[in-house]
Amino acid sequence: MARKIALLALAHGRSGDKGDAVNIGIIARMPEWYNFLVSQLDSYKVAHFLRHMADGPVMRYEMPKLQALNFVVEGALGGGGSVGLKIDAQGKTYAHALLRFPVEVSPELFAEIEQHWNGEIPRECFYFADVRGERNQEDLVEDSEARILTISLNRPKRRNALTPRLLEMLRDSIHNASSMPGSRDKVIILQGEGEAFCAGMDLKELRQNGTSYAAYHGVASALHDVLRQMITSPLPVISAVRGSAMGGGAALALASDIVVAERTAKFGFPETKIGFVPGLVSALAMRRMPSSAARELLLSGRPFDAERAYDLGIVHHLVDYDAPGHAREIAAKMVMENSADAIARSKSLLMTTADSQLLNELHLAVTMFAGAATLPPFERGMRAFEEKKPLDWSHDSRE
Amino acid sequence: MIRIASAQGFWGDWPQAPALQVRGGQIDFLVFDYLAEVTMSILEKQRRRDPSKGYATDFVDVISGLLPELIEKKVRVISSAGGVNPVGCAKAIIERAEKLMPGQKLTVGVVHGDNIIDKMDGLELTALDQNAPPLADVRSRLLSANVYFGAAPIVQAIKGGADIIVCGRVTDTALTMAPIIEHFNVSFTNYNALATGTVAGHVLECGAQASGGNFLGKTLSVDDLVEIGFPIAEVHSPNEVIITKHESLGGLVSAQTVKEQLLYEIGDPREYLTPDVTVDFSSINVTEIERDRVRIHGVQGGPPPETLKVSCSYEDGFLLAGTLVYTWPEAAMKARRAGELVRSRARALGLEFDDFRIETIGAFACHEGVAGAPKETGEVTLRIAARGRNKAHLEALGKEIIPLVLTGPPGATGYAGGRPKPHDILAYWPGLISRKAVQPVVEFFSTGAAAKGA
Repeated sequence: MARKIALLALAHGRSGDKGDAVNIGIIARMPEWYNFLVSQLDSYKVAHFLRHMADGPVMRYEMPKLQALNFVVEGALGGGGSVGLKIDAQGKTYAHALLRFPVEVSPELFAEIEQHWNGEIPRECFYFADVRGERNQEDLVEDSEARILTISLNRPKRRNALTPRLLEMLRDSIHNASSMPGSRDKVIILQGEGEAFCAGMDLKELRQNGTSYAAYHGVASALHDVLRQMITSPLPVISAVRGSAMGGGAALALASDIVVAERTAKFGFPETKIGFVPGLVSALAMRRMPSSAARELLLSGRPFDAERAYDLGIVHHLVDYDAPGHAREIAAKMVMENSADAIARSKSLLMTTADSQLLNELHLAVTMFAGAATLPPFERGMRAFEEKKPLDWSHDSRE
Repeated sequence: MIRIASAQGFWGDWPQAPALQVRGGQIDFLVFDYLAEVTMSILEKQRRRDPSKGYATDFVDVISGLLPELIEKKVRVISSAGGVNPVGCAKAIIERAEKLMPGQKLTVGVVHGDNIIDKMDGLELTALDQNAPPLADVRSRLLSANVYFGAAPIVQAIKGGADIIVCGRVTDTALTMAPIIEHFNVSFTNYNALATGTVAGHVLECGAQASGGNFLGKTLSVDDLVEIGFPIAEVHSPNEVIITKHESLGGLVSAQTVKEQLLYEIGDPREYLTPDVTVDFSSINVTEIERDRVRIHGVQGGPPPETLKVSCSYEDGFLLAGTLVYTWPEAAMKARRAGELVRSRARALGLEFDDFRIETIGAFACHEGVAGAPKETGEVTLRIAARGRNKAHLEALGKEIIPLVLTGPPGATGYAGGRPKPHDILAYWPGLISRKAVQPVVEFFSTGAAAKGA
């Protein structure tokens, strides 16, 4: 399988100013890698990669005898020389920036690179995994490319069920993409690894933090913060639903701006079946789908398929397969065709005009959720869940 | 065979380099490149304040310090230290030499005639940059105008017996190329040899950048940088050059270090224009012969352009830059917000700028947008920079930065430098001029004698 690695592993280089342009020389570390560099680094790709550092255009000059490519990047220095305001007014670090360029290398080439570095390829060459922190390999995997941040819930064995820690990471991830300086993300895609989108709250973990009102309140607040972050983020959030989206998982889909679902996907609010109250998700369901339909689904806990969800207006794109791929296509189209600023302003407008009540309701739902969680029906439901026993509510009474 | 050693890559380069080059082994010529594009305008400002100034004064100190050794070892010096007053520079050297080594014969050759600031009216210049304002518009604000001469007048100065050559504006590459031309008696129509000499000059013109400095090999793999050896061009025949360094010094000369420098700021490699030759940099072959010895050969050149390059500079408003450090938590976000705060306050004050920029150093200020969101760092430097014509507006902006400490987000420090002040912008205006319009002048000054012209 091809591996992604930064150009730094294969090349070195140097840059400097030429008026308002920057001259970047990129040299293959091994002469035999030159042709690969030529195939990977065309002037268009370089211009695109450096688009936030220079307006372009980019001219590429091939220098096979030196196994080097020389790029002249126009419109880079805000007037150039003594006039520009950049800290790097002479473009001295542009070569280093370009050496971040990610390339896909074959296993054979990767082996050559490893040999060149005596088995110690600098870890900077895998910075993609690094940038987003230690989180990757964890419950949440982030990948930012071409202004699309893809967030994957990565607990496939637990059907991507939500834990307090996962919710916290999800919140931070959306927050960082939305407002951290340096973030160039424009669209967020939320997806689940494996068979399910998200099975809702992880009931097993839910009780590990304690069973007090405060503990449940904390968990509910964590979900609340994520949903709120999604609704208030200036970035559009696209959920790619494959498999089931239940309870809190359904809430994630409902809080998204755009939902792509595979035909086999399942939605549902099963809370009342385990003696629980569909707190946050009910607030969203009542606002995002016809309220009478929402009422029926919330009270019955009856799952419904993607087609029904499409008819109810909470799924916007119904696809036969590869919801994440379709989501990426939609995102890429938005990156190209829609103004980030106008999207942000529109989301802000929708929030004020349509969603201001929703935000209040979500807030209230936290208390409702926490309150209900401390009551006997939930205890009974949880015990049955933990003991893996079927539940029969035929003879219960109201508290 | 001759050996030409680089001693300085720019004005302000490592002061230890010249002595190390003279003491580290055998060399014939020591070359000092002093002039960047806007250096001339800085020197012109100095000359306006004091007519005896206008050249790189440190050069005189460096030469006086090394003079006995230079004479003893028969090392000749070529420099572009003359700035806008090469004659003044030469006279200062003579004066120093007479004091330090009375009775010692020393000849300083001067190459000038490049400075056309006082005769602009009769000259026709074509702008090299399409976006540049018409020269007439900036004429009244012109600070410097210098023609780039090639190697020919320097060759003339060497032939005239100069021990030390002080040039005004000549191409950086000419400093290295001239002794090669003189030594091997290269004809000015032998374009491949001229191209080879130019490439040698290009490798040497940035000092240690060709010998292990600023080199992105296997990240920091150059072992000994403490006493880094500046590059030396060893020439056995005019069609090839060996780039090397003194064995006793640190640094590294490898195919990679040389290639990095070869590509430095060259633009279109097929058309590297100089007053003497048009060089095709894509024709260059680089072969690493042994450790610290790299052979450059097969370089092809063609006739030079009809025109000479002129570099002008003019006063173009003011620039102000100030910094403040923000620490954890949320250093980057706070720094960004503080910057926006200043922008809002400046707007409320009605301050106007041609350009305004907020950077968060430590959170991808240099490599903006090529990476994902930065990880939280311990601290981030907020840098606010602005440019404009109205000095008072920039001064007012300068007063808005440090007050952030008490009126902005928490966790700010690093304001000991005080209130930033605007400084003059010297903008660069490159142009072309007909060769016939200007002639270089070569003069000689000797100890114990009056000047003789040539």
